[in-house]
Amino acid sequence: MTTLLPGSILAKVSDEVPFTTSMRLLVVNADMCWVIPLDFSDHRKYSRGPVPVSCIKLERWLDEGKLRIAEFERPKIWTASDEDLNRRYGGSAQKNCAIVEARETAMAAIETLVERYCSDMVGALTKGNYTEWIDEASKTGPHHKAYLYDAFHRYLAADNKQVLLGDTYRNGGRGSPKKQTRKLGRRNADDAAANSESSGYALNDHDKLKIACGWESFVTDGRSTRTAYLETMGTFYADRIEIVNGTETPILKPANQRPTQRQFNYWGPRDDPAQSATRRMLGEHEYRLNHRGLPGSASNDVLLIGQRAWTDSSGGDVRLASVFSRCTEVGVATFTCIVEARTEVIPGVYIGFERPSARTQLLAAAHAALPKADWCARFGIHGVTEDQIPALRLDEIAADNGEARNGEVIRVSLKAWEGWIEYVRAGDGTAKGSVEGEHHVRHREVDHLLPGTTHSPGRQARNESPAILNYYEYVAHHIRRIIYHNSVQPAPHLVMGEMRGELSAFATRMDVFRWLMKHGYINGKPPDAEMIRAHMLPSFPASITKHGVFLHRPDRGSKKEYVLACRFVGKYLNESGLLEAARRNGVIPAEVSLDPNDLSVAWFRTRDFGLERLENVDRDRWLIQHATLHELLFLQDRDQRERLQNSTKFDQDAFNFLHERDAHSSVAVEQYNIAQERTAASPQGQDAPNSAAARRTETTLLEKSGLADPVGKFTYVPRTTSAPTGDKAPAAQPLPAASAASVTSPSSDIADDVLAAIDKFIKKDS
Amino acid sequence: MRQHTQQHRSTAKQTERKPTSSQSHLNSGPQSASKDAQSGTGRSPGPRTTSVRTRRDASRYRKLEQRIRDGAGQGHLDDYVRMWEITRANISRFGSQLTGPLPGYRRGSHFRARSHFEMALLALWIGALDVRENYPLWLFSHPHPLSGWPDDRVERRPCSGLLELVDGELSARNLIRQALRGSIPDVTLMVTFGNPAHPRCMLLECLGANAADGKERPFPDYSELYSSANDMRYFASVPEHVGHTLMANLVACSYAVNAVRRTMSPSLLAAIEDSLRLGLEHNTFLGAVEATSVRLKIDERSLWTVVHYMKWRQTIDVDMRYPVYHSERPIPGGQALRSALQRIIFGETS
Repeated sequence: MTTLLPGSILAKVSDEVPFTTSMRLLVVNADMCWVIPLDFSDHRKYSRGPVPVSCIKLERWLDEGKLRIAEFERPKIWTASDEDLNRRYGGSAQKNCAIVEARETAMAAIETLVERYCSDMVGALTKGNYTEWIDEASKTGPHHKAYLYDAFHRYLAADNKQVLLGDTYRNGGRGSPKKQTRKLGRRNADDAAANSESSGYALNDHDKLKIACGWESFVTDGRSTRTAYLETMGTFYADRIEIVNGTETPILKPANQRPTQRQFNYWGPRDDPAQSATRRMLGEHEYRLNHRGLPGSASNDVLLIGQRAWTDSSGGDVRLASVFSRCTEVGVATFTCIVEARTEVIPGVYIGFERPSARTQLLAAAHAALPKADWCARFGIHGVTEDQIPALRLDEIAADNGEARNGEVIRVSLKAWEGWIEYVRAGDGTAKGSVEGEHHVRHREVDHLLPGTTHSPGRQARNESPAILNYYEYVAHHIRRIIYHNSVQPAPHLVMGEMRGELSAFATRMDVFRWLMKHGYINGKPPDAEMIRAHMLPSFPASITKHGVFLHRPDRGSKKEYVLACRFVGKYLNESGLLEAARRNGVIPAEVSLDPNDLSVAWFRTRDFGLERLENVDRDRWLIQHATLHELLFLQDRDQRERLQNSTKFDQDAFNFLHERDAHSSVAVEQYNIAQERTAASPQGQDAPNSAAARRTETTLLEKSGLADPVGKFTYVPRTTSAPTGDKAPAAQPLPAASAASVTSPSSDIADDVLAAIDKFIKKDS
Repeated sequence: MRQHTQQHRSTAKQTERKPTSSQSHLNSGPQSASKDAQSGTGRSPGPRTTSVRTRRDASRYRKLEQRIRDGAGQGHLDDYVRMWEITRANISRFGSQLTGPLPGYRRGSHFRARSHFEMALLALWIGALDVRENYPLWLFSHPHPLSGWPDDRVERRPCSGLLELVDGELSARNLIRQALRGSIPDVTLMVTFGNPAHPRCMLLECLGANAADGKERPFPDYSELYSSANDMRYFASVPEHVGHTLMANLVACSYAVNAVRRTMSPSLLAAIEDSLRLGLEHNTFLGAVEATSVRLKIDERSLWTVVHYMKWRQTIDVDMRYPVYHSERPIPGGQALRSALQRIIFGETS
């Protein structure tokens, strides 16, 4: 059973209770209670007095839940001090304002009643003593009985003397539109001079509606309120339409029969801040982006390092030249930045020529989670440690609804590190914390001060600065800038009271980072690098040959065209026998993961979903270190184009070479043929080229004439292929007489006959 | 259901004689839709109703059919197939949308607003067994939301659909019209709580920031109607119900649950928890972690993850309504707060 305590507030829950408002319990006396209504509205002229209720009933209602014990919510003006009230309602230290004066008067009138009541509450209510007191006071004092009753009842109900404050501050019905019977405000100069009433136009509800309509229709970007006013008058307050210079022109009513510009300016926005002229002219997007007040900070609820990060992409604002030639412009890089919310440290970026996409977003996130020493060393900045650009696990990444809003990012983020992605509301850059400002700072500190910038500083006219820096130098600038941002630039706004004992006001972001990490305000270790590479680096088709893995051009569809200088080899290829298999069976299709901006290393995807590191073994080390995949493809395309454009010359040169070679050969062949023809004309010369045959002929002739070599040194011995090489040469065969005779003849005819005989002999002998 | 039939009777006689498969889905629930899909009936053209139904509506309806066939709005824990998910198109101009794994889950949950995510976290913190976001309130009679719960030993009766519950033909026709355009009413969170062997479920509706003063109540309030008709608890929350600091602490600690599951064996976790609990009896968080690191030879970064995990589990009594400073000793009161919230939201004590 609920205990009834004097002073409790009883709130009505059920309609079965015969109370119209909440009640204050004044007195509990045996089986009877006295309650007084808490009604301070303006509906009643005088407040109601205490009424008796049975205690049993009250307890039953409370137990049944038809009544409940509640808190009395005091009006805010009751909490104000007299100084506040005087300041607000025109009082001073010497003379109180009217409502405080009213309270003091009422309190003085019932002061004696209150003293008597407090000393005998039960008697005052049960015996009706207080009515006698009031009768007596009204007779002796200056106040009417009703006034005393009202003041005393209000005081009893509220139990606070502030209830007696005068209510003149509510005069005029603030907040409710007043019906106008004459034009509000002072008279104009004519009326004042004539000393007549204002002849201005009093607005009715229709006029207010017309003005609001005109305001919404005509107050827009590029139109002043004056123009909008005139257009509204022409639309709603025209007498007639006349043809002026061939065009229909509304003729406005006289000025005193239509609203003024001030009325238009007042009733147009209708107390709605969203309808203010400035806001309407700016446009809602611009207003929300740059002009609205910010009630807090996006990192207020971030307690741990890595709990949340913000990411966004923007242009690099610098035209870049090719690493191969400063005369060739390759475009403007995309810059995707990741800012850690707790310390504002930049743990990772993507800088590349690819347009913002899921791939660039994932590359930036992967970059934030991986160590950065190798990356910095590649761009010529050595010795960068985790104390300058840390590797972080990011539990939640807040992004806008651009490149990060797609299924791939959601899926990969979940699989790679079980992370959250928050897509902030559209059209509100402040929801992403400081990353939008980070773009601005980056542009001001680096991009707009570099040669080749697209936005010169100081709002100068855009000068067409040529592209001078290349990607390699540009990234190095930004690495230095990130190191400065993280570990050199003071960040006093991040130094909290808890850190003050160890950190000075000039602590850097990384100082704060280290302090938070030491004190446990960090989410956990960075995710496994292998896992990050497996899920977050983009995959490219490749071919395994006996010479290694060759990367395919990603922009050629299913056509296999190798990328220049991208030949990857690793220990795994040898050990797994893939190179040997490729040698035996030809090319094997494969897939590798790599950072398109770092071609020195690729990650080979094995069949068991593992990753194996492959090094780029192309001998052009300079190219591998400096160029991105984008630039390599650019170079390859350029080479192909040059080849195509010069194909006529190349073909001509090649043809000339062939032609010259063939021409020279033809001359030789022709000379040979001529020589052959000549030989055919003189038979002796036919064998001239054959010196052995000539020697044989000579020997035969000498033998025939008896002048043969006595030792047989120059004797002709016919060789046969079947004769063993080590055998002695057979003895010279004597020539037949006929042959010998023919040889002796000095003429060529004779010689021919001799030779024919010799041949015949030789054939016969063999 | 009667109104649904009447509507088609008046518009298409063919439909009256032989209802299309899509109508049969509306009548018989998600499981029959799955059966149709298994039997290879394929895509149906959708009911031919009125000429006001555009091609886009028909496309949305087919997508809804496909989602029901895929099991949307069914399953428990990691097997729950969400009814709504973040896509390229459904961008919000009014609040943040989130996706990721809740503590203890591997599947990604999709939330339409940050306040929904925070209420899901709160429900899990105070002991919910399962939280299913954007749970559909089917129009037709359907199996109980707890049917299929692992280790459930209670026979569940089918639940009434909204078509049986709404008052008046107009409301029913409105529901059907919305369904034919691919939209089914849903509740923010369907929470399973209580004893795992005899679980109960409740509907947890997250209202907008202006709902506290009654300005923005969803109309009509299908969730409340559905819960009262099907004997489920209903709780409507507004962002003001949960303190800013409490929610910031809960979010920060919630990530540790999955981190511990990924990186730590149960035996090691128990040893670390014992050591930290011992240290925190007379030391600050910082001191306890340093002492444990020396004693167990484990790096401090891993130990801090366990500290966050213990704060989430309340195995160390920390009042999460106040900022938790690691250089100070914990302020007790978190367990009492959790019990109080259990009583308020679940209507029961742990």
